[in-house]
Amino acid sequence: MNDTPSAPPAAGPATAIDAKSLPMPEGIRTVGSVTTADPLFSCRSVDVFYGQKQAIKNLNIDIGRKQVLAMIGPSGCGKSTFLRCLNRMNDTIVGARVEGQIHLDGRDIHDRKQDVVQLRARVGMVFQKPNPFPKSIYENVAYGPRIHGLAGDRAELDDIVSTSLRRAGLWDEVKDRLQQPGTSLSGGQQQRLCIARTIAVNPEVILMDEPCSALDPIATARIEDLIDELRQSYAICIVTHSMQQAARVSQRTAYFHLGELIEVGETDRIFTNPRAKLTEDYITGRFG
Amino acid sequence: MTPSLLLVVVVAMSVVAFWVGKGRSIAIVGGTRGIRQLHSLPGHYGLLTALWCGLPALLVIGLWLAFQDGLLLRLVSSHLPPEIRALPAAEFGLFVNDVRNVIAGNLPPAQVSPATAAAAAEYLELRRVARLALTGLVLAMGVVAALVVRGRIHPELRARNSVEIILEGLLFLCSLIAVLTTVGIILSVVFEASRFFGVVPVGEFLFGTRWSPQMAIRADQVGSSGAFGAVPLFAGTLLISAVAMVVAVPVGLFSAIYLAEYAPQRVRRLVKPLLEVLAGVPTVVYGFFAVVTVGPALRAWGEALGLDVAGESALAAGLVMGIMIIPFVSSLADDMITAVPQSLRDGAYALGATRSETIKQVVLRAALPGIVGGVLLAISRAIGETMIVVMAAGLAANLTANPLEAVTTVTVQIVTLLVGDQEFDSPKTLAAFALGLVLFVATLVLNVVALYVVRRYREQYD
Repeated sequence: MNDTPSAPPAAGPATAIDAKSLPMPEGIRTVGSVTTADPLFSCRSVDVFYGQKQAIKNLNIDIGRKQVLAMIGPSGCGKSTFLRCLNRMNDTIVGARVEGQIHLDGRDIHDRKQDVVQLRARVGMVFQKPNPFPKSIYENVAYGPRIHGLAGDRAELDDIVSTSLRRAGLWDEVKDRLQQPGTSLSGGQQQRLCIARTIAVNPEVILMDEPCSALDPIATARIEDLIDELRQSYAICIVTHSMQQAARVSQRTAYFHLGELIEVGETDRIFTNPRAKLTEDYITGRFG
Repeated sequence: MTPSLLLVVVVAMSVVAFWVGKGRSIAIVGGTRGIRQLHSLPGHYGLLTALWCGLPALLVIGLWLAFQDGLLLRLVSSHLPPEIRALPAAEFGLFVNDVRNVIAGNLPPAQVSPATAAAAAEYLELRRVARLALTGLVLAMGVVAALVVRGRIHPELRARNSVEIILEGLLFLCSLIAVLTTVGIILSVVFEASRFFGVVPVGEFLFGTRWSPQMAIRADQVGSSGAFGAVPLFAGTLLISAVAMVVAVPVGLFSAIYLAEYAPQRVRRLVKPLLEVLAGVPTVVYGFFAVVTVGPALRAWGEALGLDVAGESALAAGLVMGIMIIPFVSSLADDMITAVPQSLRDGAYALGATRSETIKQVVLRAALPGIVGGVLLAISRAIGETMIVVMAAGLAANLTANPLEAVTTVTVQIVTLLVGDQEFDSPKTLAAFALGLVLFVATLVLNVVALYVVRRYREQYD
């Protein structure tokens, strides 16, 4: 029950002979197209526990390159938890346990040989509340390149900083005050600064955990435009409570409910023709 | 009635007034069913009655206690025979002392002169009359006030508002007491210090390099020149404080980092209270730890290394003082580090920073203003610390930067200048107030700066 006629040709069957997509286990209940063409992440049978409590149950999904995956669902449904699995941020939470397979580009991110520091350099993350470091705007962006030794000299670092700020659409607003503290910016500017900081490390994936929930509509629109541009280069996973936002920025949408992935598929299809009853109820506003 | 018995009576009267007022307010609206018609709760009417009954009476008692002695003495002395009133001030003071002793029962009247005995008897008689008058006045005031308030109770009376205004006034008075005490202390120190600076010039005190406060009492005494150059004391204080901070800042800061960032819950729960036990050790105990253990140990090690370590070295006092301050630094730094929002750590981890990179470059950077504030507070404690240095540092006012030698501090000198029977008019004792003033100003400045730094930091994240 995992693929559908209406799904685009990109979504192959579960048994697709794609080296990067892991084989699909038996008996999954997710509706829609779990797999996608050219997957970057491939997750199979993922369970997450916080102590005794199971936050995610038997989750299977592929995440494609150069596309935006929106995750929606009521609070506490596990979408943020899943996002934090992808760069192993759950490691920092005492009592959190992740089981199952999560492969990035064909390699298990829980493999002993996989260093978490390198993983996080490849998988960037933007948080719900803007969290600039207590440093200057310049140093905020330069921080990642510095710790990973990405810049050979000062000129190269300057270059990375200005490029990242340009791509985050912040350059024109801050180019004359790079030495001012990052906390002096407005909320929307701070969030774009955090995105610039993430881009500066040159990741392959950017995870966004409700990046606009602390912003006003104008700042939100700017971030959404930015997400659309970034899609040209990165895979983006965004958790959002706004269904309009999911519809605007994403190509695929995943609906979570009580720790289970209920339905995943083309964004247009999910919002116009949801197949699972729970998805339909949530989208039409019957609960959530 | 004695004033203390009168106090008890006034309190009892107020309790009665409370019930009278409360009962009256209920009765006036026709029982508990009518309470809704009252502006305030019955308890408020009771409290209003009680406060009006008790407070003015207490005020009168307080005023009488404050001024009765002076007033009665003045009355008595105006009736004294002229030959006694003509006595010089010093002898008249002795006479008054005798009168007081007779009144207090320390001297039997038979042993003193008839004039003294007569004055004492007159004093006692006057006091008896005054007390009677006071008792009558206070009781009458209480009863009248309670009756007046009771008569004015009606449903429109805003008893709650009045009670709250009175209580607010009482709260204000309490806070005023703390402020006034501080002002009083400052003024007394400044006043005594200015007397000292009348004898010894400010410049000589602040910049002189020789400290030898023994004044010659007889002209032929030697070795008691009375030099009041306080620089050696300041230098000694700074030297010992510096040693203390060298111990306390790294140890306190690193233990705070470990406890806040690395330690597992179980270790943290065990170590943090143990560390805070250090703060509960009385400074006297630290003092003899310094004298009995650290001092001799340092001396022995110094000998082994071929160094000449004084028995009461600045190093020993500073080390022990540093240990005393460790929990102060560590618990403040711990608070500051835990106050750094988790989102900042997450931001750094998400960029691929390791734990130590995150702590060094993000967490400590964010907590730095708070930690600096904490260290400044710790320095002001080190400067003002007395007991350890009194026991472990010497009395010799050496001007040296060598921590192996004995030095003395401002606080030690204040103690030695004031211990024992002293007259408070020689430069020697007055010097203590000048030193106290310097100490006070120094710690005040440090505290103000520290609080300013800490507050600025707090605004950023809360």
